Amino acid sequence: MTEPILIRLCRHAIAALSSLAPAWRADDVRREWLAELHARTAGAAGSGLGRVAQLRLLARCCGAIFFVVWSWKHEWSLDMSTVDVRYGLRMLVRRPAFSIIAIATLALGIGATTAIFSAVHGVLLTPLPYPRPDRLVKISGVDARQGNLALGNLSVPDVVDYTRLATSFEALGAHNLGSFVTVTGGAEAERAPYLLVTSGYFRALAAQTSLGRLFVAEEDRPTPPDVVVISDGFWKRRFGGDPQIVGKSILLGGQPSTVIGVLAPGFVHPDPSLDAQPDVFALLDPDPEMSGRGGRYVRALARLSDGVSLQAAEAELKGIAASLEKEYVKSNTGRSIAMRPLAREVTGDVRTPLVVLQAATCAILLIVCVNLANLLLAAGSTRAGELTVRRALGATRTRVMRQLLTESLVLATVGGIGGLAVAWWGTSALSTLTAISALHRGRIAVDATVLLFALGISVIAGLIFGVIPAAQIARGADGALAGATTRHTDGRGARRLRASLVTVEVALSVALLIGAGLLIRSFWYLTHVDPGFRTNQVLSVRIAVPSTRYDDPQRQVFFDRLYSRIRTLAGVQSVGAVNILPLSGGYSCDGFHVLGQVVETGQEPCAEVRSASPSYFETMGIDLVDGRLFTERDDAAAPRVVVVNQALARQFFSNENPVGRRIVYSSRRQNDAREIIGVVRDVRHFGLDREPMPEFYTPQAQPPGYGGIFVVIRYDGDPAPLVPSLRHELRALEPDVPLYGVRTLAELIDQSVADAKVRTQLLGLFAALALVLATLGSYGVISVAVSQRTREMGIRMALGADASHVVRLIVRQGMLPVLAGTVIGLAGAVVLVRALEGMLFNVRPADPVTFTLAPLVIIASGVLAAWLPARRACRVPAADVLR
Amino acid sequence: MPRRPGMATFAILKAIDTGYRHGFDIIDVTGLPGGTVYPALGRLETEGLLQSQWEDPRIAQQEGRPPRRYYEMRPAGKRALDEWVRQLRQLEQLPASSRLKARPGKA
Repeated sequence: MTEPILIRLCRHAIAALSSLAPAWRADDVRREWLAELHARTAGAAGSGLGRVAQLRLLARCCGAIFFVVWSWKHEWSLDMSTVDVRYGLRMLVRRPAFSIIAIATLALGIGATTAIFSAVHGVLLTPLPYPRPDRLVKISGVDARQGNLALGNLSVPDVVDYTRLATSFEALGAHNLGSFVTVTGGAEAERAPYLLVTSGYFRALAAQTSLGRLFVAEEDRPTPPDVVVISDGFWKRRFGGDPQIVGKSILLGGQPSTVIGVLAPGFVHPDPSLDAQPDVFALLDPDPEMSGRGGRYVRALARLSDGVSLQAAEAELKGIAASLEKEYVKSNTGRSIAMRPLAREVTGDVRTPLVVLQAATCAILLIVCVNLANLLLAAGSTRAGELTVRRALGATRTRVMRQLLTESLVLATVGGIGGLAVAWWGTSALSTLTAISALHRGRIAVDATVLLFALGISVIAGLIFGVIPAAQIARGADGALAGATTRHTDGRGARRLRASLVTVEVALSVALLIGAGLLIRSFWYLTHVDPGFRTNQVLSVRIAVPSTRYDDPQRQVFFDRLYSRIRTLAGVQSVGAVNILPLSGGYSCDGFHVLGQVVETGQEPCAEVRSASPSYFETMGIDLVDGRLFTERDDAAAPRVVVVNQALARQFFSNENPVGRRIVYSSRRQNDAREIIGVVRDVRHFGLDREPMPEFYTPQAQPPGYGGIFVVIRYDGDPAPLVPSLRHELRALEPDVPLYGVRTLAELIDQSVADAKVRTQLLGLFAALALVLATLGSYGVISVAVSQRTREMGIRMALGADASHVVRLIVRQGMLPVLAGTVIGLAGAVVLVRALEGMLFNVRPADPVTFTLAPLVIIASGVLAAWLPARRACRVPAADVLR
Repeated sequence: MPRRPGMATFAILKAIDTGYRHGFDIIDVTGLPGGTVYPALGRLETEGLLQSQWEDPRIAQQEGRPPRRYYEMRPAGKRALDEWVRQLRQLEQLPASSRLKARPGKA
């Protein structure tokens, strides 16, 4: 009679599950369960088993897994935890010097890796805080004219057309770049972060309110209603969490607006370039007459409809962009769009540096592991006696290996606990960095995932540095058991193993040193770039005059009175003003052309335009190259004039003198010809690493005028007492105009290079750590090798070899793995530095200086590591050794 | 660390004391799942309440089947079981509350 298939399955289940049990138990388990199964199924009792009974039997046999689990738990609790772990802890205490070094280096390695991981986890791995964030995309404008200055902005009418025509999206919304608005009435006047959006913005992000409602599509109309949505934080701070806030009116820039909703707590604006999260959201005016298609100052994001791929949606929008290009030749020629997942867009600037830093910390941890493996190997030869006795008393080789591995894991766990302390400190330091945007700052912390990560890498590290020595030492104990020599010198295998471990750590350090060297050189160049203006002893403050209260002439009168009041303050040397300060993040890109030069329709160039007061150039130290600067006489009544920068002069007047020529300023609000009266030096507006753009300045007293300006003040001595007097003067003139954004230009420069500084310092620190660890590692290996060869050295010297010969011999042999590691590291670095390409300024990835210096540093430290033990060996009197 | 024995432990001890000596028989008579019975048997053996032995292979061979493993009480197990039964009896004899009507216990 053939056996029913279910019973056969029972047998297979028992065989498979019992094989999972601890080896010494597996056979018993299998025999017992098979016998029980047999008793149930064989003979008369078994033949009549129904299908249901057979199934029940199969389920019971599968229950053997619980016994397997129990037996492992029992097994481990029996000797792993109670005996080996306690033994491991005792070994730690018995070798304090080794333990302290091992735990400290492990704590550094695990701590650095965990700290960087907390940032990687918070910024790169945690999904954006919106429902189904994978459906969110960012839509960027693409323009051939802007070249490397890819700002990616769109015009409001274009976005309106995309919203109307596209079918790939659940919602598509736009927001401007954010600004500040003066909130008055009730408490003290305050500048609140302010964002203009279309109704689709909140729909795309699936935002929720805790009170009231969000904007609706019907409100996206020319001259939209004066309604605002406020953030949860602002509602609680400014209005004390007033439950009746919806429907109330607040004063924004002097204009009443009605609060229609309060955002639920935790809403964030997904734009990392903003200094502060917006508190007040109002509606963008989609009127094409108002802003025009040439005024590109909004960014767009959208939520893809279900089942629509990003590629399909992008293709659809590109089609719409192409038809807009045909329809609006003047403004839209060369314009298209690009689409990326929002998550990628949000992390764009920090992704590569974080990945590079994480790789660097992993390399350090690996070097730490290699060093510890070497130390354990060296220690193992002194423990051979103990382990041989254990083997002789009946411990299996697996048992000895397991004990050694447990010791490593105990070490790694203690190191991991130390590492958590390092990581906790490192994480709090990382999250306060200015380089981390407001969007991500709150998300970097040591949480459950980071703890799990620390535990994971501790165990992995313990295995990495434990397995090879454990196997090697256990094998050594075998050899001793078989009656091999008891003298504690290692075989060729062990020596070769240690040498190759040195090669690994040297290779890793060379790669790290080269990476750090490139960043350091790049940072040096960056901080030695001439920004085009003086950075010492200049203070900048921002003020904003409401356009509702002052028309252009009144505002100019107000500004002039303010400047003359400031000039009288103690320590003030000069005062100037501009609408967009260099490195402040603002830009304009307004259209213009040179009168007399032919420009094809739609090909009109754009330039950065600044509105500056006459003494702005003197205060900022922007030198005049040709012609003259503005004076008080260049006012609204005088002929229109401009001052251009050298970049504009070079690009549009290659060999001619631009002074006296005229340009047509054709932005959305201006269309008039203006005479060029002077040429000034270039200023790096967009960052020290960005080439200056063509730029021209208009006098502050001539249109276009701006209510929000930066006032720059050159002062003597300490700027701190100046700020209260400035506030006092401003309040005396006009109590409702806020003063904010107080910074010295030196701070502005520091802030602009903060990202580069942080990553350079971190990678530099990691490389230095790697260098020290690798040098110590090769020193340790050579020391052990030399101490084992002291007899040989003694014989050599007794036979007439001189000390220098012996030193050369040892250094030569010690240097072999170092040189091999250097070559491998250089080869690896050639490939790896490509990742740094985007972070380098004025330095090529294959920089010959760095690629020469880094290996030299490594070789020099390798020579030192070999020379010290070699010298010691020669000092031992030959007679001592031979005795 | 000794654990407080649960109901399942006593059911297993009682089954063995009553004469059910093989794993599957104990599963059947107690109604407990195999995933509970086998780890409990292993634990009771470690704690010295039970011992297990393999059946004489000659007997098994005569009957044409593999030898089975059987479990036996050890004195400590017997004592634990008696103690448990004694406590159970005590519980049964709790005086009835004046407010609740006591339900008659099964003998």
